Amino acid sequence: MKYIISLTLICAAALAGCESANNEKRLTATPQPRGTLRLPEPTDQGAPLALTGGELATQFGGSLLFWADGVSKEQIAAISDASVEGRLAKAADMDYRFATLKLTDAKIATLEGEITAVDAAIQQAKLDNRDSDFARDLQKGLAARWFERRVEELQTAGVVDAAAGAAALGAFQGYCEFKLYELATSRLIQLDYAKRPTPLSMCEAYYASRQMFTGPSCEGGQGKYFACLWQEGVVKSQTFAALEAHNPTGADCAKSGQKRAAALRAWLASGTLERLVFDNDEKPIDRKTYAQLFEAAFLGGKALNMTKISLKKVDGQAVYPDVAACKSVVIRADLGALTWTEAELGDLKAIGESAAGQAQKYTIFAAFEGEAAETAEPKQAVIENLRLYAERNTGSLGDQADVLVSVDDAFFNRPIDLALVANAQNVANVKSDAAFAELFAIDDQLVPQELRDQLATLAENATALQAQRDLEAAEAAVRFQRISDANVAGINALGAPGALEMSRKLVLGLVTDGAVLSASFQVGGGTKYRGCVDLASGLPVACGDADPSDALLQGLAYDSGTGKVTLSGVLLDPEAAGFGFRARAPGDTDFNDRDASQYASRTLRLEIYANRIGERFQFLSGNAKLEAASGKVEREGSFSADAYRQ
Amino acid sequence: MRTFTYLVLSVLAVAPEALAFENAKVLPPGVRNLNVRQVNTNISAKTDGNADAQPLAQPLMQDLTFAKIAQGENDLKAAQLKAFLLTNGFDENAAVGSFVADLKGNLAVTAGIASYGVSSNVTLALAVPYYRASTSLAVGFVPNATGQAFLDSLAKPENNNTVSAREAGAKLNDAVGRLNTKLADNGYRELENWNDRGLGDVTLAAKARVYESGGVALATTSGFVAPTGRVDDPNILNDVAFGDGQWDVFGQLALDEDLGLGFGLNQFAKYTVQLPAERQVRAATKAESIEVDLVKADVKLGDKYDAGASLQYGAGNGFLAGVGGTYFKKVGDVYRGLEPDVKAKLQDGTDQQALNSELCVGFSTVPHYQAKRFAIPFEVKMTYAKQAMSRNMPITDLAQIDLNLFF
Repeated sequence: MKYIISLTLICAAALAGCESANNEKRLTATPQPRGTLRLPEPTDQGAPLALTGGELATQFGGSLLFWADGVSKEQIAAISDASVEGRLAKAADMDYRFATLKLTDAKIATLEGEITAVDAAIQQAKLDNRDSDFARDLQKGLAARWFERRVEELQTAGVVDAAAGAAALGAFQGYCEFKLYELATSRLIQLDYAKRPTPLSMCEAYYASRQMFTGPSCEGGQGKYFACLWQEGVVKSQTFAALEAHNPTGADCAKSGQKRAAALRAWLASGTLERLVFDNDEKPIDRKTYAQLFEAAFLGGKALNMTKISLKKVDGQAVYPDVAACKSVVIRADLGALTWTEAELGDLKAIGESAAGQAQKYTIFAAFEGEAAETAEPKQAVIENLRLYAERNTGSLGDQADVLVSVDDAFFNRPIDLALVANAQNVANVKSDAAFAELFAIDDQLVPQELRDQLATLAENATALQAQRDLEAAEAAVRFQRISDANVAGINALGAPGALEMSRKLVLGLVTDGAVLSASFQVGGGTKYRGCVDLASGLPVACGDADPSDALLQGLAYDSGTGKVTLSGVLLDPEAAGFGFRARAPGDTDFNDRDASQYASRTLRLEIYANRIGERFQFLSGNAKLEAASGKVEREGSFSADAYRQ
Repeated sequence: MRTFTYLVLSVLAVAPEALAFENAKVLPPGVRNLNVRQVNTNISAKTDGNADAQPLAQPLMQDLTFAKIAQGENDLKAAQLKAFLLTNGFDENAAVGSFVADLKGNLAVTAGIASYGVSSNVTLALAVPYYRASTSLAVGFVPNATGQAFLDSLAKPENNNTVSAREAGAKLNDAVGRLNTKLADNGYRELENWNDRGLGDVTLAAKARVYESGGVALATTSGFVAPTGRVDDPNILNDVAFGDGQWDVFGQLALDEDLGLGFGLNQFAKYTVQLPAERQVRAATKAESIEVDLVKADVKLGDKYDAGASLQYGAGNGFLAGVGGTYFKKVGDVYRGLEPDVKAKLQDGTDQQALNSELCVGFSTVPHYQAKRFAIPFEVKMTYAKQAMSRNMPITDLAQIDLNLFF
């Protein structure tokens, strides 16, 4: 029994020991996290170079470098820094010039187009509104007192004095009357009008001052205004009134002014003249005949009796020709005496020409019958008007079409000439004065306010844009300076002793039609290596436009996954391929410390990655290797080339 | 992954190493004793030279810096990488990420200790331990913002290194895989779970009671440890050595004092000389620990000191109990015939110290056997050792079960 108990206890202890060993809780390591870095998305090679499915014909210029043994990180960093800075500067410059500046230019062009369009709309609005009632009312309103204001301005500006101004106003009144005569004798008055036509808008104030065009005949019955112009216009004219007011005393001037006027009014009221005019539609009467009819009626054949006309020298001494009552008017001794009653239009013209011709020497005094020659006032305006009227109605203009106003019209120019003759040197001032400007601005008032506001806004915008463009141009200069600075830094870095053993100019060509990529490289202006690769398969193919002078690439591959283009060419003639010795020169980044023999039969391999900064700057960079025939990489370098366009 | 530290787990002191409950007792002449000792422990941390705890996998938990990456490149590539860092505002010593790891060890040792009373004062003993060990290892890599910024900088249009960025990113994302590949390429075993079992170092000792009078007894124990256990494999970073690969000679002095009423006080001191030997090691340095050669080196492992005291109770009814404490110290290893930086790396952290408190309970049938109440004299004792302090030692508490049969 003791043995049994003992053995049992021993076994139990042994089992407990074994159990403790087996049941010992084994520790297991906690699984550890494995973080994941976000991998940058592959550069979209299709975008910067359009190698797939796009068009590309780009040449990239840059440098090919081979590192010197023992190049330091600082030297690499300096070169890399300059290269990156150059890329950024060029990209910024291109984007700025091609985006910002071009955009501003485009905005300016658009704005100019808008301005042109609005301006055209404005001009069209002017044209559209020019014949409107509004325009006419506007023009009439502005024109009604234009001449008076014009003279006031000339006086205020000191261009003319008060006397000249008064003379001009007097002349203008005569001018207005002859515009009245002109229209009254014009075929235009035979037309039908919706409103009363004006002989001249600028004269309306004058016409109103003489209560013209106020009678029943001016109410526009059936659009006819012939009677209105004659009965309410001509007979109310200053000349007519003057004639009416004077009663000649001579035997040959027996008919009083009042009687002549009454006869004329009656004659006009009888419609004789009107019938003569309107009943000759088939053969319109010409102006000469018209004038003769008018003369016959107006002057009554013997209506005008001018009693005295005297000439006065400029020095003040009066010369009184021998005037016999109203029978004769002696203008000058050499012209002989004319009897007014005998005076025909040609005579009147002669009188006027005489007076005009002697304007520098004589002042013509004309006195109506009853006036003393000594008290006669200058009536040259009347005389001149008579002359001009006679000339117009008997001279070369007489057979021509009706002309109301023309720039060379003596009527029109005369009052202005009178105003300007006193101070001719101020012509420029006169031409730019406010009265003219106001007249010219009439058109602006015909333009809807919306269009005018729009134009003003566009003009402001254009000004602002141009200012912006000027600032941008200045900014562009700053950006270009950044490129220059990067170039200088690059030159210093590339030429640093111990950094590089070679730095040569590199030209890379990449051309694709979307299916085949043609690639080439040219080092230091040497042999051009070229080949073609099928973009879909990545396999080399023959170039369709192979140039016999080009060397064939030994290898050309395109990896669509990474966008890497690999070019390789065997340097069978390193010297010709741009790998000959080239001495260093200050400021020159084109050098090679090695001679051509050290490159013989080596393969230059370029691993090209394309990229783009901003919208426009495309560039290529990558690794360059020189490989021995065995494939061993003997030298390593890099390159960078871009398609920077100024 | 240059500065990779070996994850050598220290051989746990088992059979030959004394716990606190030593004594000066010897077996009566002709009496045999078979002690079956079972020790179990788990390990997940260790202490460093400053007695600070750190994960067992701490050597693996390293930052991966740009500088370390550059070390793996040729001169030109390294210069280009550093130039890129310079121009893009990165610090060469900045980390792109960190390795993270968890390593846990499980160890079970069953030792058979056979003793024989040669005379009334001398007992011979032979200890044969058998190890079952495993390690569980998980390694990860956590990249950081600098790593991401580095990739993003490479891929900036103006730098035009997107392909390089993607390649670098893929490598960093598979840092653990690449580490394992690198380890394998250099003859290492990949970082993965490990387990093995086998014989440990065998100990032969003789204990002699040299004095006994008035309740005081003094005994000496001397012996040697034969290099029969598997040693650390330099190609496995997370294995457990079952032996240290060279002969040890030790001597111990134990003093018992009977306090009456079944209580006794024991004090002991032990000194172990580890004899010089030759072993294969990796010529690792602080800068590089993977791409290194496997070399033979002369090594003199540091000698060990053990000392302890315990208060033990043995009642007439067979109940056993005790409390005690031990102190352990091992001086640093010394390697010869190696480059200084390799030696420094191998010798670093090889000096050890530990202070343990211990508690045991058990039952002995010997009094009952002597009283003819039990047929077989034996003892069952369970001991728990709690590590209070250590330096360069695994942090582990030992649970030990002893079954002693006397016959």
